[in-house]
Amino acid sequence: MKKIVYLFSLSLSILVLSCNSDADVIETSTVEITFDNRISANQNLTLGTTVYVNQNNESVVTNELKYIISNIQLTQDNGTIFEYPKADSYFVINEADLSSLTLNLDGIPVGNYTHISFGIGVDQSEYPLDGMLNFIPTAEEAQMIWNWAAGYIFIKFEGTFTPQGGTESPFVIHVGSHGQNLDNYKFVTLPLANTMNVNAGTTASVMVEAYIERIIDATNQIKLEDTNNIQVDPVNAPRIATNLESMFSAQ
Amino acid sequence: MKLLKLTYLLIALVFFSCKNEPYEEIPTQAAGEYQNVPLSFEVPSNFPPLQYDIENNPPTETGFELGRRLFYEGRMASDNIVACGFCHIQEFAFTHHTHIVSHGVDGALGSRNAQPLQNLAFQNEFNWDGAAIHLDMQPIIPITNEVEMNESFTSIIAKLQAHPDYPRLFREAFENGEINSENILKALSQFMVMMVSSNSKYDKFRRNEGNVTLTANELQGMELFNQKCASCHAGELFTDQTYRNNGLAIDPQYNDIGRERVTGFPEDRYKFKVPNLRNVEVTFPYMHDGRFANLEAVLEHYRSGIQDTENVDESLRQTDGTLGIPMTDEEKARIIDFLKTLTDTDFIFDQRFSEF
Repeated sequence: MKKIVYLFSLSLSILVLSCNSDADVIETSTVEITFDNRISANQNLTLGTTVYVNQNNESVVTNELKYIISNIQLTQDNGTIFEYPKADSYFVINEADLSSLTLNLDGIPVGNYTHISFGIGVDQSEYPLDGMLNFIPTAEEAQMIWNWAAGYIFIKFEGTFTPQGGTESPFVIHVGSHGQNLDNYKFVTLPLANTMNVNAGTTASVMVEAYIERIIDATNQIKLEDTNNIQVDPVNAPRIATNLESMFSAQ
Repeated sequence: MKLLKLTYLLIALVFFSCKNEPYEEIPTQAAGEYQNVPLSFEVPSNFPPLQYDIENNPPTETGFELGRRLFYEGRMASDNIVACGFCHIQEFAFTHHTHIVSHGVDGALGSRNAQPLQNLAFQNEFNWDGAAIHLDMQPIIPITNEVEMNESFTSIIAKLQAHPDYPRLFREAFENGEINSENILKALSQFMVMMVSSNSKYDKFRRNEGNVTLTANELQGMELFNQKCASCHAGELFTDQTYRNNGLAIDPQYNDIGRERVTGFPEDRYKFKVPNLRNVEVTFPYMHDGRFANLEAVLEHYRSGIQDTENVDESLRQTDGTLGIPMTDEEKARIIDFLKTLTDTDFIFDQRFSEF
């Protein structure tokens, strides 16, 4: 008899577990993440118009700014990390395309969130998993994938620069990973300036500011007059990737 | 006994308890149903371990068949003609027979010779310069490159969705049944993973199968090959999968920097992947730019044609500093005798891989 009771309770628990999705649903809601690409905290960016002076005294105008965001995670005040489904977690942020600047994530468990984390670029150690291959059409349309190598372009930053008393020249910065030799994927965790309360029935929002002056002026300084074409550049690409780690701030 | 009955009942209960709501019956033929009939993949006993993560994309009958259709599908290209199989012709171990460089849509010319497709599941990187680090990613390059198939995945997906057969073929091949870039690439990989060439005369000799023996000339050639070539063309794949500059004169028409294009490292300039030599008898012309029409010219290059260009491989330098691999005419001929034992007619005429 004891055995039967045991068996019953075992199967009962299997029953309950196996149908978990039907019952006992964790309450979720939606979160809107908006990317605000700026020169700095104090200066807005308008493509083709805004001029800023970098630390090498070069006047820089941005004509194109795109980057890939992936693997978004949100951390609650109790330390719980919610990982947004990786297959749905690849995005191109394109300053020229307003609709690309806001990401709407649903299925976020209700709670109080204190940090946001995301990847800049694509984690190539994950190849070919997690729906990464289904990001190809999006990346292709945004021209964020190379066609001579099987790899994503993590950031495109293009424009013109004018050294003090010099003449205007174009600059092109395209950074991705270089085969298996150089992994330029970065993952950042940003504290939220204010705790984000995710409640059922309302959409919570986060503003992520990107200070693009830091692409070439942060941990590493790049003088465009010396290097105005950074594409598959094994010296400068990793330096820029490191700079990207300090480009973002969450409000 | 009673207990046993109860157990069955409970097991049945567990199984049925999560059954989905009844759905509308669709005729199987029209709908296409996922069919998970695995294809057996055996690593030949004389081969190194698999590199491809087959667990993540195990070849099935329907997945392989879909991959074969896509490989020969002109709709994968912008002109609806230049399929993968256009430059990769089976009878020549999937190379572009006699074409020096590959041809693309609208008569476009590439800058490199199409490589043979065989034993890809054993390779860790792809293309002459290693520009693809996973087999599932490799087709992105030829499909999207403007001098090859010049097509976008968005457009391919639309074309396949509008096709009378593909929606069903995708449903049969993949559980989620979707026509998307991941499934396109996984089907192509399932097809390519199965392309194993391991039944050459050499293989049968190595595995002691059916009393196959090599002739005296072939044996001598093997001995010479092991002395003079096998440090790079190593192991049963006949490549150590490294990138090396084998001293080809720089062709100013292309000035192809090779591996440096991928890594950006100056020390990778003019380096190309050491090609595997299986079926080498039929994969002419040779080298990354197809500059040599026959094997005699290839061996002559190694004997007398090596140029001291940047990063030339040190293994090609003799102790006295001269470049080249010394060999007599007789030795050259014997090495070629041996290389011809690597021809695998089972593979190049295997019906499973053919277009029709």
